[in-house]
Amino acid sequence: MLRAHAPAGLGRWLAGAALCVAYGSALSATTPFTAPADALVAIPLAVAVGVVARRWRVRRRPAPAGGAGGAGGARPRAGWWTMWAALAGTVLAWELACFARSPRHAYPTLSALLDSLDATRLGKTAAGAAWLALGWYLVRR
Amino acid sequence: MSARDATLAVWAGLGALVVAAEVAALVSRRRIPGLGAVLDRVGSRRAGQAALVLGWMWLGWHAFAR
Repeated sequence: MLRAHAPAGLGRWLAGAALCVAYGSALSATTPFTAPADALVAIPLAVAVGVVARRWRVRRRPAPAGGAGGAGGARPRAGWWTMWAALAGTVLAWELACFARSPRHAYPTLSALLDSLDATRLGKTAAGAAWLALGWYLVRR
Repeated sequence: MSARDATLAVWAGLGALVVAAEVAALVSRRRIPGLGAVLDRVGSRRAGQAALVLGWMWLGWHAFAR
């Protein structure tokens, strides 16, 4: 068969990427506050809830020690986790600082920046595809 | 420099920091954790995974449906 020598996950990866782009393209044709937009967003949400619930039922045993942390190899030192936490905290603090000020045009929040991206068909396609891919990454673990 | 320019500059700086940290993680062969490792660590517990998935759900609803 064709896939005998193909990298194991390549076909699945390509299919997933195509699905994400197709979904993003469909999403970019909708307008917020309409039933089509609600329905199109609700589908992955429902699927995510189902997948997570199923995985939680199946996986009763905790992950093996050292399983968290990605591709294996050397374990990162604790200080690096602190760095990411500090970075996340800084982003959150700046988001709140922008949110508390007005006008929004002068102090854009992440939502406002995302709105700018969503203003174009291509941008909304990319954002929708990225959102779906992120969701898949989060629920499949 | 307008307030908008200054705000955008800070956002760009924060984005550059995230990208730099991710590049550093790649170059260090994962001795420095990347974003994926951070998400893996947070999501390794059910509460963490639930928080991540709920955040993702809110993001999609907020950005595309509202």
